[in-house]
Amino acid sequence: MNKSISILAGTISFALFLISLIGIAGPQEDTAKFQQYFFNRFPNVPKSEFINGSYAIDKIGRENWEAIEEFPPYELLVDIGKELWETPFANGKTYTSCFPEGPAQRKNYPYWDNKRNMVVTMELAINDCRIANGEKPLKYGKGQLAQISAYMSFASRGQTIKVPLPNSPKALAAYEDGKQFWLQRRGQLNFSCANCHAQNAGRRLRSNILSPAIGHATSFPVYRSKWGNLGTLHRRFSGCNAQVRAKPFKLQGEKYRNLEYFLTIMANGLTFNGPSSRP
Amino acid sequence: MKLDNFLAIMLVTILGIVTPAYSGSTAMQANIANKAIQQAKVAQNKAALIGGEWRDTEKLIQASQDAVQKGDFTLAISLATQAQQQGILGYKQAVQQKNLKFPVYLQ
Repeated sequence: MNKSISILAGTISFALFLISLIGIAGPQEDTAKFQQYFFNRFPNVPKSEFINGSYAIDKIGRENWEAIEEFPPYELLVDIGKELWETPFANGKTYTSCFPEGPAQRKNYPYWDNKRNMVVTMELAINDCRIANGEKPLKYGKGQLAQISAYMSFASRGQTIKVPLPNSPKALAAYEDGKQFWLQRRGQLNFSCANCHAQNAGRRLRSNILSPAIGHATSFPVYRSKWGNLGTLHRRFSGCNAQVRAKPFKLQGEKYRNLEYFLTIMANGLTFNGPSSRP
Repeated sequence: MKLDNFLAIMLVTILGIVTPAYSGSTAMQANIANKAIQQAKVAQNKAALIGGEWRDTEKLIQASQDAVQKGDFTLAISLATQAQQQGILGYKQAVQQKNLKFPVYLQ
């Protein structure tokens, strides 16, 4: 009896999943439209250049940035990240116990974890590894976690982004949640991510050129001159939310993980190029 | 009656009337300020429950509470009212921003 109910529930769930695929634009269709929009908006920018944010479209800013990248401000922090990666935990193991393929892991994140029913990001996996080895988790956003992430991103440079598309109703719901977050106007200024980084990409907001959203997930963590140190993608999400006067969400909480999932799927086909520097 | 005695009686009488009235007014204003803060918190929580809280709402409530402590009830009521409005607007905004599709320019 219980088995029959389980089969029935599973069938209904799968049917609803199929119906939802018919009823709403799927991730694959979204990605095509999303990317095509930016290709049309900036017809002289090659696809591979969108990983460089506003520097793909701002000639003067680009020259300054290239000069900065000759002696990158994050270089020493990547070295610290390498040391942290190699330093054994109290139990004698290192991060390689969790990442046996080595530090070049960006290509594997973010992904939908069917067992945990959640999106797993690389920063979350770093802390999961620490917890599994009896260590305290690091604070998300900056500091040691950003340094380890920078080292792993540096080792992952050039990897193609191939986030597997949602293959279950729950994964699709997480994707849709991230998409909704990106589209929703929020805060006292009533802006959405899309307002600034799609609708007005390339235009100026005060002295800054608004970067196209297509490359947002590729180059983190970044060293921002404003911060004076490295920060993760979720730290930037938080800052953006605060700038439109919305209360930021928890770093590595469900909202930002789903947003990262959506944004990285939108960047499928580009390459990872973190860490990088930004104003 | 000497003039000094008359003035003394008048002073006591005036103080007797004004002081309780002033105290009553202060207590009433404090009560209004605290109620405004409570209403602001309700609006803040309602917005937060659906992810619509604004950045400065908590700061306004905190500033309002500080103003109550300092006895500046007019300021406290003003700040709490602003916070309440932010909560109401944040909630309305979040309710409106549901089931969105890619805008026309992304189609």
